[in-house]
Parts: sequence; C-alpha cells; structure tokens
Amino acid sequence: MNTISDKDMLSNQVKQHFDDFNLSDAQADQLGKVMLRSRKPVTQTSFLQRYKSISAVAVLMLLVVISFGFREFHQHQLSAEIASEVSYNHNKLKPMEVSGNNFSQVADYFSELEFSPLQSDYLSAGSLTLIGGRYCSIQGSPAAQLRYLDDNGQLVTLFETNYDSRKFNFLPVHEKGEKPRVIYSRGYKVNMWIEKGLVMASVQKPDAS
Amino acid sequence: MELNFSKDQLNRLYQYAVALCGNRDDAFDLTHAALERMITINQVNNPMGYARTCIRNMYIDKIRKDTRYIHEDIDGLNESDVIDISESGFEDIQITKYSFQQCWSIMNIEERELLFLFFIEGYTAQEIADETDSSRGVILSRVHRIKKKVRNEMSDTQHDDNAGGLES
Repeated sequence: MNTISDKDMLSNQVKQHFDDFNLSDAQADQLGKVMLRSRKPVTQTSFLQRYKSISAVAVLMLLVVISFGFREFHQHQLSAEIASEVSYNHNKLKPMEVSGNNFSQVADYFSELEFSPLQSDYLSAGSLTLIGGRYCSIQGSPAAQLRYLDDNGQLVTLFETNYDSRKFNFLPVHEKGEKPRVIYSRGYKVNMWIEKGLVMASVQKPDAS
Repeated sequence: MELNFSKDQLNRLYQYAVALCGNRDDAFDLTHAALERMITINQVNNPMGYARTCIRNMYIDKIRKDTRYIHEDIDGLNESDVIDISESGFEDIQITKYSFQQCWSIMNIEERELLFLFFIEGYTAQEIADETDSSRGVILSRVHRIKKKVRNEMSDTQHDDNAGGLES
C-alpha cells in the first residue's frame, strides 16, 4: 500500500489525482438529459417550431389580405348603396321645397341641418344653373338635395351631407386633388367625393358633361 | 447536433473541467454548459475535442470576467522562448503524493490542462498544441516548466525532511 512518502511516476500521480473526480449518478443523469434533448425529438420540435412560425406568418398574411379584401368589399358595397340611394332620389323627382337661382338664399332654407350647404368647386366647373332644393338623407344622415340644370337642360342633382370619418373616409378628397369615385346606378352616373368637410354626390345622365 | 457521449466520456470531460477550475461544482457547471452549447450547433468532426474547447473557452471567459486570468503570452512566453526538450521528458519523473499535491496547487491553468491531456487523454505535444490553439514549441516549453516545478518541490520536500531529521 502506498503511503504519502512513497514515490511514484508522475503519470500515476496524475491518474490517481483524477480518479478522485468522478460524476455522481445524479450528475451523470442530468448530463444525460441534456443529451436526450439533442436527439430526434428535439429535431422534430425544431421542425415543429419552424412550421409553427411559418404557419403564424401565413395566417397573419391571410388576415391582412382578408382584412384588406373585407375593407375593399365594404367600401364598394357602401359606395353602391349611396349611388343607389341618390340615383333613386334623383329619378324620383320629389317636389322641391325651395326654389331659386341664388345659392345663398337656397342654402339658408336648410336651417335644420347640422351643416351649411356649400357651392361645390368641383361641380361648378361646368356651367350649371341652380333651380332649388329639398331635404333628404344619405345612409340615414340628414342631407341637402340641390337641383341644377346643365347647358342642355338636363337635370343634375347634388347631394350634400356632413362628413362622418367612420363611414366615408374611403371617399376621395377634392382638396387633395383626388378625382371623385364614379359609380353607375339606375342608368345614371354618380360621382362621390369629399369637399370642404362635406360628403357630396352628384347624379346626372351618363352623356352629360 | 445529436450528442452520444458515454458515461466514461462524460467523466473525462468533467475531469478536464476539474483540471482547469479545480472545483467540483464549477467543473460540473462547465460540463453542463458545454453540452447545452453543443446541442445548438449542427455537426462537428471531433465531439470530445469540441466539448473540451467549449469548456476551455467558457472557463477562460469566466475568469476573464473575474480579471484573474493572465495568459502565458502575456507572461512573455512565446515561440521564441522555446527550450529544446524531449517530448518524453515526463517519464523519468518520480514524485510523492504529497509533493504532487503541492505542485498541483501552484500550477496554472495551462499546466494542469497539459497534464490532463498528456496523461489522461494520452495526447502528444502536437495534438495538445492543435487542441489548445498553441504551438508545439509552447507546449514543450510548458512541459519543461512543469518538470522544473516538480523538481523544485521534490528538492524542497527532501530539504525539509533532512532538516527535520537533523533537528531530531
């Protein structure tokens, strides 16, 4: 048996020194668990995680597309409903409640509205003559219906209502240089736009200027 | 990568970590951390060598943070200082267990690492140089320094024994 004073080869002393250091069973198990994580299930998990990431991106993109499509659809539907409503009113030719060529006087009649009807810069580009107006509504919002005659004696109706950003924010803005949205309904050409803080819609025969 | 170390291999990695840090708990943490790091990489040619490199790098990072580590190159030992010695220079050395323990306690990281790789893993000086990113000359010079420390320790012990004998 070796004592502390017995000489031995350095190699044996080094080996004996390290023989005193061994992993306990618990430590070996712990390292074994790390190695287990490196095996196939980990690879499958990695694949699954990657698959999940790709799926999440695809779902997100799909939601964006659906959301965009739904918005477009909703805007298109609302435009069509407005066009149908104003073209119906234009065609119906309900009696005018106020007559006159002077815009200010006709506008003063609409005192019950929450806005003051305005002369449209866009519509006055052509030579139109105001003949009168009446109360009406667009999509449930109180509106002014103004009737004009063009050079050919054709009737042009301008509808004006207050701008509600939640409902009408998709319409082009005249002040930004945007062109009106055009929809044909009931055989009429309907232009819709936002001008001076009001929603405006004009209805006329398609061949009218 | 998929790890398949045997218990014996895990023990040797742990002993290598002990050689570096001299502490059972730290050695286990280093071994554990090295395996954790290895499962995040794709593939290596020599898993044991790579694991030892991980352990070594993590230990050096740790002690650099503690600002206790002084690398040999900083001490001024480099290839130009190499002393021409034989690679089998350890084989003629005999030492008592007590002296070995005294020597071990004053050896630096590189010296303890070299003894582990030389005697436990059976590496040659060139293989140790390759794994530790040193030159063969630096490794042989390190061997020379270890021998010097062992001889000094043996000489001191013998001197102490003789002095004790005279006194009695």
